[in-house]
Amino acid sequence: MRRAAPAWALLAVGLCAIGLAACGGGGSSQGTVSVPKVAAARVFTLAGFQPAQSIVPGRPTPVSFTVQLPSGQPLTQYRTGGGPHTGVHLIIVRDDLAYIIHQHPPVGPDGVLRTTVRFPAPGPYRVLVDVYPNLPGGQPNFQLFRSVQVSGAYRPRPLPAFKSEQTIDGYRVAMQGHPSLHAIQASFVDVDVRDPQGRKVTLEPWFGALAHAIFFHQGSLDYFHTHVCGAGATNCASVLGAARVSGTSTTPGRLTLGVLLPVAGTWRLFLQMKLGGRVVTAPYTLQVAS
Amino acid sequence: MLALALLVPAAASAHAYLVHTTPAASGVLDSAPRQVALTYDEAVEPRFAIVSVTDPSGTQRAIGGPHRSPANPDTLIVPVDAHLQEGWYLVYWRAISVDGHPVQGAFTFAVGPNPGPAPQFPVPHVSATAITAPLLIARWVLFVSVMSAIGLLALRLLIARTVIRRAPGATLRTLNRAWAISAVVGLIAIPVYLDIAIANDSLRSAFDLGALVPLYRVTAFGRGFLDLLLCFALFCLAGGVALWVDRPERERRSVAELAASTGALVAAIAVLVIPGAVGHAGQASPRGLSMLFDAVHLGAGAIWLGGLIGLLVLWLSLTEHKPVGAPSRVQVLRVVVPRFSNVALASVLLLLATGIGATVIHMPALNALWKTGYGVAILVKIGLLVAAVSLAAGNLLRTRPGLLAAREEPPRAESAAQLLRRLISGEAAVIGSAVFAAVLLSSLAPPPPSFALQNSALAKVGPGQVARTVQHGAYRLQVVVSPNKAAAPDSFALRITKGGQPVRGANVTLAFNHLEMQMPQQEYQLREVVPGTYSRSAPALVMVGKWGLSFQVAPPGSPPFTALIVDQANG
Repeated sequence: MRRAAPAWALLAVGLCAIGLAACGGGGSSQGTVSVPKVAAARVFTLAGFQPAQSIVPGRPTPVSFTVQLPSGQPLTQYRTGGGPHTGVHLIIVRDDLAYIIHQHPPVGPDGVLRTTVRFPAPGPYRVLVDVYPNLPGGQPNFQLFRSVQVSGAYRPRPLPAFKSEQTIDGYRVAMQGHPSLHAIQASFVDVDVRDPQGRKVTLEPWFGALAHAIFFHQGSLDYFHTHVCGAGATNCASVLGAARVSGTSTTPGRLTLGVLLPVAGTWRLFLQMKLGGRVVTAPYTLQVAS
Repeated sequence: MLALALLVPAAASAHAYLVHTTPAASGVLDSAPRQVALTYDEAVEPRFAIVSVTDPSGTQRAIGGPHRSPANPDTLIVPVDAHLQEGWYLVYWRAISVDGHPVQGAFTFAVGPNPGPAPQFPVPHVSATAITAPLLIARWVLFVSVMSAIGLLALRLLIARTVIRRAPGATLRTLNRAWAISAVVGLIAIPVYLDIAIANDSLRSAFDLGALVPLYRVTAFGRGFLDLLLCFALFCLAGGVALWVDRPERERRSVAELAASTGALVAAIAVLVIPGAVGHAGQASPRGLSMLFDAVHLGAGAIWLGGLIGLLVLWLSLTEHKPVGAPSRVQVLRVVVPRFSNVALASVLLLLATGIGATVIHMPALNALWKTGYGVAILVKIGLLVAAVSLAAGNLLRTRPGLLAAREEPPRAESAAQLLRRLISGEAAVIGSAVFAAVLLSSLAPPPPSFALQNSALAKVGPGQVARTVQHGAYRLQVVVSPNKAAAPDSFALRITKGGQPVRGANVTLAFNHLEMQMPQQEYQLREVVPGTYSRSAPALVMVGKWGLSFQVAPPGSPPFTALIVDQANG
């Protein structure tokens, strides 16, 4: 029985060996903290976009697409109701911001959106699909983009300087003063609109708003969109971060336009309203300070 | 000492948590950021941390690893690619709390102004567990060896010492040897365990000592175990000196021996306090009481386990028949066993009392005992201790009287000695297993106080998209959680109807509590989006697991109420 002590020593050595062996299996094989591999995310896409090939200028061109959900299913649930923040706004601008096309294609039952667009002149265009989905908890709206090429020689035009008064189709659109704008700060700009006879106009609602103000940043083509609504309108405010902005028109001929731009630089404003049954677009070049 | 211990302030929270991020979670920036900054409630160690910033394709956009902000020690900064395009990015982070536990989370941000729709990011998950097999084994070896060393020294110096005088010719050399072996194993096991634990937390190889050694002192956990090593080394030194100078043939102890024994006692107390101070006992409330329970529990266990091992060693080193000039086995045992039995009984009672006390402190609800891994480990440990106690009762009732009757009935004493060996071997093995259960227990996080919320839940939902209708009094509540994924922005909606009519204009707040880990509560106000439907999108489910969703509803002109839903969120 005197051999007991060596037996204990053997057991102790065994425990040490287990500890040391465990130590070998403890860590990963590499010598530094490894950042785990992140798989690709599932994203929203603009699927089945037509036309796929080059476009002929001046000719009615069928345009169709589907907003595809991350699940691969087409988006069929769009926000509906009053106000401008519903459905899909299809906005197409030439890269030099010389032309704008703004339509509201209806949503087909299969989620396919179809419309016809006439691209006015050759050159590269940015197609912007501003989507207002009716998805629980998602963003209230988001944009998907695509670039298309209209065949022919592209002659980009420089942006004209700010001009407060403009006459379009006989209507006189006058911005009151030269607005001083700063990035991320909401400000309001008054615009007077008179008909060819010089009378103050009464605006007709067009796609949920009395007027649409569409802003594009020169070069980057960053986009923002605000609306002018009548008194008591709902679902009119545009949201940028924590700020919300909307415009109003409570007296005939006078629009108070909400401006809220995310970054400094040169922006092109396309002010659109329905006058005499037609959509009139008044463009302005605006400088936004930081 | 009890009063002093109770004055130690309670720790605020068990684990590090994210207080603030730049960019903000789910926020849209107007220009590309140059860095991502994560601010925690404590100074997490950048060398342990992972901060990954990826785009929707999964490409890494962080440049290099995180570093500590010069302005705020609680902030980690990781520089990112200067040319982040417009779009959404996923930030995944993992950090080690100062208490040594890994925590992780994820959030998204976007570079605008037009980032597009938020994609569905898959969130990586690095195993955040402290219960790998090598760690558990190392921890078990550590505790068994340290406890045995303390118990063996106590047995040798306080209980078995008289054998020399009462059974002439006996020797205690085998006990000294067993003590020395357990001391050496403990001195090896502590640094080995620390190294494996740090390697596990920092996702490095345990052999990468060049990288790991500088990290040893970085967390409170690492510092605690280095302190443990130091105290245990002092205990071994003082214990060694005490055994060296001890003259057991003299009844009175020398001053040198008393001094060395006192040193060993003080070091042993420090060794017993440290595991609780760096473990969960140091974070429970009341902290002082919890740490006291932990230290006494460990000490009582050490006396019991070490004493049993000592008895077994003595038994094996002695022979049945009296060799020339040496006492027989029974002669030695009848001195030691009765004395040890009294000490062991006191230890068992202390062990049970402190164990029950600690359980009461750590358990937020009775059913947490069988509904959480922590609770089940407690039950297993209690079962093992009950088994050990019944073996101990056998010793007390059968072998002790048998050994004491040695003079009158030698055969009875011999059979009692045989029985003793079987009982104490079994007892030691069962206590060794109980120590393993305790090791497992102390590696698991105790259930948080919010665990008790589960018991009042109206419904248990998830994983996956949730659409559930529950009834609360006269109110019919429809709860929607979509997509119900952890570490991603989820949408939470509550539709309230009463008698078929939507309840409008109510004030609805949603509070989030993680039910398995201690974390701060988050609260969000829900907005009425449609009459009677209140909704909000929030990155609130920051971790995989069970969440308590408390909808606090104040309908206009009616008494407010709270509806609790338990939601399982997966990654």
